[in-house]
This record gives sequence, C-alpha cells and structure tokens, in this order.
Amino acid sequence: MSAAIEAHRRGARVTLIDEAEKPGGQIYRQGATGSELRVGLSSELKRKNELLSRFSQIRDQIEYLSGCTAYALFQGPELHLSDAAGSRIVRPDAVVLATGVCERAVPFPGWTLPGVFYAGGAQALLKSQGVRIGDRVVVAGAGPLPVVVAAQLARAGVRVVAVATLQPVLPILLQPLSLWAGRGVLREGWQYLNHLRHNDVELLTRCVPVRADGDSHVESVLLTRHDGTGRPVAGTERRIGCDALAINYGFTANSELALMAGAKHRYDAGRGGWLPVTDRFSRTSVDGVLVAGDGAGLRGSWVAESEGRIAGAAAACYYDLPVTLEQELQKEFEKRSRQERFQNVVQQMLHLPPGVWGWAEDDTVVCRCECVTLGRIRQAVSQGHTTMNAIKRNTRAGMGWCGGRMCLQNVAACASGGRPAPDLKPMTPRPLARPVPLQSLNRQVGK
Amino acid sequence: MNGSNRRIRSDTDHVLQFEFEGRSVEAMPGESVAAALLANGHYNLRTAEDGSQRGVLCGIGVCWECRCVVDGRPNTRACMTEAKQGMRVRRQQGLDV
Repeated sequence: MSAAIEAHRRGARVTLIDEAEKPGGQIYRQGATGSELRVGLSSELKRKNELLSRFSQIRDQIEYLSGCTAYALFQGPELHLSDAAGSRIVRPDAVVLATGVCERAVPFPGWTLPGVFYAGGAQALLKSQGVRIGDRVVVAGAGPLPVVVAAQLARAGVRVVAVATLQPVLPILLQPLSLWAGRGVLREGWQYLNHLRHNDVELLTRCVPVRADGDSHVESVLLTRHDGTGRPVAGTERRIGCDALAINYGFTANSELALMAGAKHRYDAGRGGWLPVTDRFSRTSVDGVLVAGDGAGLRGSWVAESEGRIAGAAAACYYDLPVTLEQELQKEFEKRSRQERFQNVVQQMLHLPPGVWGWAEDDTVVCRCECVTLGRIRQAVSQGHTTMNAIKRNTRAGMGWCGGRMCLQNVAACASGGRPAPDLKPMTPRPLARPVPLQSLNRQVGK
Repeated sequence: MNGSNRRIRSDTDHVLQFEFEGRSVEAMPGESVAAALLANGHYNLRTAEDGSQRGVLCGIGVCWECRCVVDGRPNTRACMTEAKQGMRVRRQQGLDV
C-alpha cells in the first residue's frame, strides 16, 4: 500500500496486486465482516487507519486487483498473475515485491494435532473473524509475537493458562540502545505485558512445549524448562490441560518470487531465511525488481511502511533515478535505520539455539503437507542427499500444497544439524509459487 | 461444547446454517468456514495421508492444513472460504480422489 501510494504520488501508472480481498495485508488486516473488531491497541489502530485512509484516497486512481495471485516472476520483469477471471502476464517497468513473511514453528511430538495453531493464526482468527481459538489456551514460542497474542486473547476473554517463552523477554528489550530506538514499539509491548499481569496470566520464561497430547485434538501440553541451549531440563516438566495451543518461533520470508527471477540472496535465519540482497533503494540484483518490508528481511510493520515509500519512489523512476532522490527520502531512510537498530535487538529473541532441534522424534512430521518425518529426512541426509533440492527430490519434503514455505527452514535445520550453514542453497523456486487452478491458466485474459 | 461464547461478535440477528459431516452448524454472515467450525468446537478438519488428524494452523490461507471438501470440491481451504447458507462441508480423507 505504502509503495503504491508513493509511486502514484510521483506520477507512475500503478497496479496493486493483492492476494487478499481487502487491502491491509496481515498486520493491518480488515475484518471479514466490515465491522472493526478491536483487540489491538489504540496506537496500532491509529497507524492502520491512517494508512488505509491514505490508500482509499488513491484507490480509484490506480488499478487495484484484489483476490489476485502472482504465481511467477521472471527477468524483464515479467509477472504472471491469476485470479477468478483467468490468468495474465504483465510486463511493468518495475515491480515492488511486498510479499511479507509466514510463520514458522519448531516441530515437537503432537504439533500436528488439531488445536495447535500458529500464534499469528490465532490472532488473525480473533481480529478478522472475532473467534477465540479455545476456552483454555497455552501460548508459547520465541520473540515478541507470543506475548502480544497472549495479551490479545486474554483481553478478548480467553483464559490464557500459560505463556511460555524460549528466551527471557525483559533483559533483551531493556538494553539502552533498544530502549531509545524502539520506544514506540516498546510502549506497545509494555501495555501488552500489563494486560497479561492484570489478567493473572502466568509468564514462564526459558520454558517450552515439548509435547502436545490429545485424542482428536489437543487436550494437554507438556511444558519444560530448557538449559539455555534448548535442551529440556529433567524434572521440570509440567503438564497443563488446555483446548488450544498457539505457537510461534519466528518467520519465513516469502522470497520465492525474487529468487525465481534470479535475485542474489543471502541466508539469515532470524530474519526469515533466504532473503534477496537489496541496496539502499530496495533494488535487488535483477533489473526492475525491488523488495520492501518483511519479505526483504523481518523488521516489522514500522520498517515496512518506510521501506514501501522508499521502494515505491525508486520504482516510479527506476531507470532514471533523480540525484535528489536520496535527499528527498532522507526522513524515510532515518526512520528505517532507527527501527532496524531496535529490530536487531528483537532478533536476539528469535535466535533458536541448536537444542530445539532435539524436541522432535524420528516419527515426528516435519513437512506437514507430504507427511515427511524427521527420521525420513535424517535417513536421506545420511545417504548423502545433503542439499535442499536433493532432500526434496528424495523425500518429497517441500513438495506439497504450501509450496514448501512451511517446512523450508526446518528442513534446512535438519540438513545442517541446526548449525548455521551459510552455503546451503534453498530449494529452487519454480512456478507456480502458489497453487493456481488449471482452468485459470487455461483462460488467458487481458493484454 | 458451547460455541456461542467463542465469538466476540454480538450481531447475531442473521445467523445462517451449513452442514459439517452431516450435522448443522451455525455461522455468522461473513464468517469463514474455519471460524464457524472453531466457534462450534470443531477442531478436526482433515485426515492426512499418514492417517493423522489436522486442523486450522495458519488461519490466513498459506499452510493449506485446513483443506476440506466443500460442496464436493476437495482441497478447499476452510479459512479462506466464506460460510454460506446450505453449504455442505466434510473432512477431507487423504487426497480424497
């Protein structure tokens, strides 16, 4: 939205392709009912309303394609689209990818049981649908999201029986650098922590769920303290009854379109895995292809808005950047780097120590779509299938409906034994980046 | 399980009905099939190819774990499908071909 507004302001002809039916993406999500369901903070709602209102002023002056999927990107740039009307190919001067991230979790026995949700999923169901995922809920994981979601669930009347976080929350956030750089975000975080305290929610730090049990859906969760490297400490197990568990251990960047186009990339587990390399103006190594927001590395919605403006400006005059652009965008560059300094601190909370990869057992499913177990992947690796492509071909991990996004980083962790492997290449992204009905491909429309 | 208290919406004047596994389920206008099923305490939406049971995971259409058979169409994501009066939804069994 931010990139579209800026590119339009600078006189470019803009098409905005949105997979959703309504603008807003994941963070500034709009309710399916049109009625605003208030579970967030007033400051977050204010940011959302400001951006949506700026977008509504240009909506009729740009081409806005909602419910439309970009399923391939090649050099050119040449973008392949599909929606209910059919499929089409567009060749813009420049394309800004703002594809965001999806959630990830560390596998453990029972994590595929119905009633185990991603924390952001639980939040989406609450925000856009007005539905609580359960009556008694455990929330767990790394980084700030589990705390935020727990507070929102508690505020919405859910009995949050425990919040378990991989790392202690406060020591990291109270570093002087982060206190200043991230004062806006921290103020919101502090309010969420206060909600938890007022609702008598138990906050267990350095504590993780290592098992979920239940007949047809989750009925209890086994929480245990870990030794700091992710290994459970014997004798600290606690079984907690619940009807839902919400987990989040960070995110995977939706970078497959940039990678498909051939953009140079790097690996950064804490920021979303394989990320396209970009310059100050968010340009990738491929002509006409720019990336903004979390899809270029997890840094949150505040950065995304500034970076959208930067990328939108650069896209609007891609082949003839005015020398004054740097100066015109000075404020956005500053905002972005201030937030990035804070996000560097938040990253430390998303660091997954090697011991977490010991929670799964040989028969624990890692690739949910294709039901590929940890044991099966280990077997493939021990037989010499050590690259991501080889593991995929040998086990089918990453070949399913989600396009390999859900298990990508977990398979990488299996392949490298949980150690950073900067040379590991991702599975080659191929069209279709998202499932598209054959009849849509068969019906070419438009230019 | 009392489903109504899983909803924070109070505009209950236009309730609609659809079928899940042959049983009637109430939904609010605009609600997704996944949300309506969760509000009514139905977590188990699919049996995977290995026989394990699955339900809603990401809630935003990315993971495809909640794929059901809706009005005869398999691989339909419950979280991305709006509940409609008279809709027939059932659990997908494996590939369901």
